Amino acid sequence: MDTPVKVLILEDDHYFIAPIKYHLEKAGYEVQVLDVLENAESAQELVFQNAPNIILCDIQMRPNGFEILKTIKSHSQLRLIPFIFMTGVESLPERIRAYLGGVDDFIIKPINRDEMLAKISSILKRQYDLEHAIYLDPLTQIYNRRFFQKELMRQIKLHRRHGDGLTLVMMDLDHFKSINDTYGHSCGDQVLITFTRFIQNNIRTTDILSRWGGEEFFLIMERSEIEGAIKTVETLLQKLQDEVRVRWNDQEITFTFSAGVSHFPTHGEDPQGLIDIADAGLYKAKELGRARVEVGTPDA
Amino acid sequence: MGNDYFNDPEFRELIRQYLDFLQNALPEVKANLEDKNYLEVQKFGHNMKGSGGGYGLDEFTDIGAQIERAAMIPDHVVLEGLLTSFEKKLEETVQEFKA
Repeated sequence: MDTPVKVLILEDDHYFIAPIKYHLEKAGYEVQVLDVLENAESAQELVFQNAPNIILCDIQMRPNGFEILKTIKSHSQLRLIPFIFMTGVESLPERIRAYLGGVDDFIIKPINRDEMLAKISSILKRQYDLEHAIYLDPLTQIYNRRFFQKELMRQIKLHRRHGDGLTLVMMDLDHFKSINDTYGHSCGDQVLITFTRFIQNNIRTTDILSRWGGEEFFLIMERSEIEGAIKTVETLLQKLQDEVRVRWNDQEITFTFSAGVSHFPTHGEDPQGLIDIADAGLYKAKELGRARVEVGTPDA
Repeated sequence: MGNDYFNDPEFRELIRQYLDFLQNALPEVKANLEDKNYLEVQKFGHNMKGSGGGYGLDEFTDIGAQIERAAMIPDHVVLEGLLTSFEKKLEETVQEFKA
């Protein structure tokens, strides 16, 4: 999750933005500037595509900053992104209106570099803590179900726009209950941690692993075709069987997983539909003897 | 211009571009004033108020604020004086920057 922190600037005055962009980039941020926006809805769409960590928006740009704020804060997946207004207008009614609309803070023009960087850093730290609490599974430190559901929806939209394929893999640890029953839940926890670390270390940085619940996991494989994705998961399974052991009270525990696969757009565009098909594939894999990968079918 | 980044060639290039922009924009602002197009003059003042300080040119921010205020009234005579002062200040800054 060591990706660059993305700052999105919505501002149409190039000469105002140039030094701000310079300072932010020198501070290590990835900066994108959107200076031409058709309307507030297009701003919402561009924010969705760019998935920034924080938004800096001029109040007096076109469309009006308040309209942009409203569309961002009304979007269920964007409303948590910190939103800062850049303004030279210090009118109290406007500030109150902005706070009530969901703005996090203001940066007053002309902008002071040190104050701006301190403010952004402070807001992002709070946001990081918040997202950590909301979106990470406390045991394995990978993304949780809440994040997965949000991200799958976003990824499907992005892949649809770019005409790319996406593979969804549902994985379930085989005989996990018997590991818990035989060695205890602490050992079971260690198996879950070992499994997630193994998967994280053997997938592309663009692939997204999440814990669905219990011993079930989802893997979103961006820009992938189904045949290649299946081979990758089969290789992961073989490698897990060959190389991974959990040592527990002088014993070596091996474990495997079963996986079900679905594909966008082959199996449709609906996130829940893709989850159900991957689930059907997983059921089939279990039925056929476990430790295998199967493609789901809609009517399975 | 006491901050560390003012000596960075990358930042100096931004300042150069900004000064070029202002030099190129000034004749149009003067023409707008002559045509009593105070709204455009006000916009120029407003933008310069916001941007000047970002380049370490705090005096430009101050003059921009004064231009914006005078254009809102509008006070033609005061605006003429402000634009004359600004033109002089801009020329001095360009010379200082090139030195």
